This record gives sequence, structure tokens and C-alpha cells, in this order.
Amino acid sequence: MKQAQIISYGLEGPLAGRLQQMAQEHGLWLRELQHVSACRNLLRREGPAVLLLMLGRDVIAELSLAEEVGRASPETAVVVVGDADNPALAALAWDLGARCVLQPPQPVELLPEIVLRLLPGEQQ
Amino acid sequence: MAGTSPSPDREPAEARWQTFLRHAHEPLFLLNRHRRLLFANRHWEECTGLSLPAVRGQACRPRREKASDPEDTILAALAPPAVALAGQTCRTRRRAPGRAAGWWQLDFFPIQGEQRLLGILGKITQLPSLPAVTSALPDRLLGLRDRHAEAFLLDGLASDAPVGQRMLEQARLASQATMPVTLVGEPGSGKHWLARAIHQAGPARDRCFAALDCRALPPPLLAELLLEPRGRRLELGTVYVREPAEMPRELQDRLARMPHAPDDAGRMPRLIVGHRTDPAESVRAGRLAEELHCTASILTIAVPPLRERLADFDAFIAVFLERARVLTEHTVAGVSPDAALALRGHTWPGNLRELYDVLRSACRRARRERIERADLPFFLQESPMPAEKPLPLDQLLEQAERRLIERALRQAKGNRTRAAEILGIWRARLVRRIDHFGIDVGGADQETEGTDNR
Repeated sequence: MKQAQIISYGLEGPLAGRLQQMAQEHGLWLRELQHVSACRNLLRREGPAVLLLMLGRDVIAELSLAEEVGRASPETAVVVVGDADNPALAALAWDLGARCVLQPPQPVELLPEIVLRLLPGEQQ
Repeated sequence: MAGTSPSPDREPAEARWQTFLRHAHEPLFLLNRHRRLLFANRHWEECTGLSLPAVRGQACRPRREKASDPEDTILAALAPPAVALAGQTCRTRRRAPGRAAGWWQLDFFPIQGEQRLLGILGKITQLPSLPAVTSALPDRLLGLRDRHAEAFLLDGLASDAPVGQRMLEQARLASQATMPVTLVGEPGSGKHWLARAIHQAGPARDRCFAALDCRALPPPLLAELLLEPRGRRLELGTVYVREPAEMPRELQDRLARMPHAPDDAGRMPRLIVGHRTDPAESVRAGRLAEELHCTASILTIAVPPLRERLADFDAFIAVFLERARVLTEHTVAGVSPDAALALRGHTWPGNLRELYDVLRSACRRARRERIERADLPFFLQESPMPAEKPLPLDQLLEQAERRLIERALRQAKGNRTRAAEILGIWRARLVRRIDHFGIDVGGADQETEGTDNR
């Protein structure tokens, strides 16, 4: 079985640092990408994945990717992170198949824990 | 009958239908058994925006690809599902195409002749769109919702397996109400997909759907989404709670006390829960709050494992190959007979999810337009050909008959007359069969036998 991969799109700053630390501690394969098309190419690889999508640069392209993954790759868990409190976008992200949606004022520090719980084989 | 001259009685019969439809106050249309439009009333023309003379005789069939012609799109939306063609009355909901906004509820009433289907009467009911928090979003984002929703239509559940047909009927029933639903099925059997399809066909479809995995989400997040005002701001239409037994007990108790039907203000979502194992067992083991189980199990749907739906195996392969094309670009259109045999020989403990994973990885490896045995994972390439299982009919029928007789005798406490009544046969025949099978009726029979020969 191939190693689970974490694909992170658009995450920067302390949050990205926390994720890197978590990946290092657990020996996980973390890829940090800045383009939606690069995420799509990586998801074509075999193996389970967690896709972290930080909304903001191109919401339509980002949520299109979330929708495609939700429909065609159900074993990939999509986590959507927003930088503003927007119930409409949060509801849409859930509807498109996201396994978790985090927006302020929700504690974004929970993200590493959520990613670990979503990785195949990590759940009890 | 198409292609033959009309019988003398045909025209008056058609005229009677037309008069009947013309006087109706609802959009009605009549299809022949080939799904061609025979007649529709004025309300149908107003509802669809089509003119009957322009489309009379055209077929209402589902299109595999999105039709470019709006007329074709509307006729495709009016296509009767397979169950209607099989002679069963059915109801389905579809997004209203063309100029009409919102959704259509379509009722189909098959008209049966002595030996075959004569035609189908259809009725359109326009459903008002519900207010939704997402209405503030731009059209391009809402278009994503529509595209996603199209992958979860109850019509796609049409099954040739009895267990699949029963599940579809229950799912249709669930979609027409707002009560909580419990889905029970093995991992990978499609509970999440079914929950989404029920939502999509139900009255809350204009609101959003959220699937919450209680094993993956931290309890504070679950509490916020399920129980607190912040979660209600999302105006979710349906919340699918996966494995509620994994939630902390306090959350389970709070969830059980909440109302679970969408209200007019759109604040309360519908609750659908999914269990991998028998929830009653989880209640007995103390993992699942009994109150929550009782609340959520007003309607319980058993989602059958793939091994019980082998009649639908080829249909699943076709759907999954199409779905795999979304992320994995491939030109695979089918599976070779040899590979199909290997696939059918597997027991699929991971159910539909496992089948999809296998097909997706095979698509990546396939070098031709169909999947060959060599493209399959090694464990499937090596799997032995399934041996033909013998089905000795007489022997099986005798086993079933013996079990039924023994059961009737137990129910009747050994009284043969009563047992014969239960089985709906003459007493003499029952006695002959008891002798044939050598069934020991037992002491109870002796005690009550005296009352037999009154």
C-alpha cells in the first residue's frame, strides 16, 4: 500500500509551519503547492490523500477541484480552510463534499489534528 | 400500434384521452410504450414552454450527454424511469430545464394492457425553490453545486437485484418525507452516496448537504455544526452523521433531544445517520445512546453489500469507469471478458469503494480501450475462476418444504390439522409429506391429535 500523502494548497505562515511539524513528527509525505492544476496532477497518483484547500486566490478553481475530488475520488478527504467568516461559502464547501470546513472564528489550530484523523489508518 | 393502420376504435379512444387530459388543471402528458409523446395538455405547454405540435412523436429518453438543444433537454427531463417502463407507478424529482426555474416533481402512471405496457401518463408538479443561504453566491459557484448534485440521482440506483430494488423503494419513500433516516451497511457499500441521493430528491434539496464523520471531526466542531447557532447559520438541508456511536455520549444525548426536520425558517437540518454495524448492537454495548437511535431510526434502510448485488455488477462498472474519467484522464470504455470474470470471482469485502479503487487503478494501467486481466491488481489476476455452483432445484425445494412443515408443526404445537391450515394445504397432503420426510411430530402431537378428528 502506498504512503498517504497530504497535499496542501495555499496555506502559508504559522499554520503551514504547524503542518510541516506534524508531517515531520508522523513521517508523512506533505506536498505544499501553489497551483490548483498541480494539485490535480498530484491527485492522479495512486494512494489515499488529504487535500487541504485554503480558499482565496481563485475560489471558483479551488472549489471546482474540491467538487471533482468529492465526486471522483471519495477516498481523498478534502479540508477547506477559509480566511473569513462566510456561511454561504462554508455551506457550499460542505455541499461539494468537503470532510471538514474551517473558517474564523473556528480554531484553525485544530487543523493538524483533523488531518491526522482523516488519514487512512489513523482512525481507530 | 406504431406502423399499422389505426383500428376503428382507436380514434375515439384517443379522443377520449385528449378530452380527459384537456380538462385537467395540471400539466399532464401521455407517452406511448416507446416513450414517444402522444399528447399533452395546455398546462403542460405552459409549464415546459414547448408547443405540442412541434414535439409530438418525439421520444422522452434520458441523454447520456448534455443536450445542446433546449427542446431535447426538456424532453430528456420528462423521461420515465426504468421502474415506470416496468409497469410500476413512480415519482421522481428533477431540476426544471429551460426557462422554468426550480424543480419538477414527476409522477408516472403506467397504463398496462393485457400482455404489455400500452403507455405512460405523466404529471408535472412545479416545486417552489426554497430560500437558501447559498442564494447569495455567484452563478458560477452555484453551477458547481448543480454539477455535483447531478452525480447523486435516485434514478441512478435502478437495480436488477431484489435487495437493490427494495433499497431504492425505501430511499424514494425517505426522500418524500423529512423524518430522520438510519442507513446500515458494511463499509464501502454506499451509505454516504445514498444519503446524498435522498437529500437530492427530497424537499430540502435547495439547501446544502453536509457529511460529518464522527471519527474524524473533533467533538467541539461536531457540537458546533450539529447543535449550536453558529452551525445553524449554514442553513443546511440535511446532515449525514457517519458513525454517531463514535461521538461523546453527552453530544449524542443533546443531538437526540434536537428536532430533526427542516423547519420553515430553514434552521434545522434533516438528520440521516450511517452505521457500519447493527446499531442495536451498539446500543446494547453502550456505545450508542438509545434515545438517539430511537430518534434517528424512524426509517431504517439496509444498504446491501456488493456481493448481494451482483446482478448490478456490470452497471456499477460502467458508472465507475465514467466517474473515474473526472480526475484520471483515460479512454477506457469497458472490461474484457477475462477481466470481468476475475472481477466477478472476488468477494469484495470493501464493497463498492473497493471496486471503484480497483477500476480506477486499472484505468491508469490500461493501454487499450478496455481493461484486461493484466491491468488488474495482482490478487485479482491470481484469483481462481469461480466454479459453477450446482443448484439442484428439487433438493433445494424439498429442503425448503421440510423447513416450512416443521415450522408450521411447531406453531401448531404438533396439531396436524392446524398445521395444514397454516400451510394452506389439505391435512391428508400434510400427512403424506410428513411421512415422506420422516418428520417426528413429537409428544405434543399425541396430546392434541385427539382434537383433529372431530
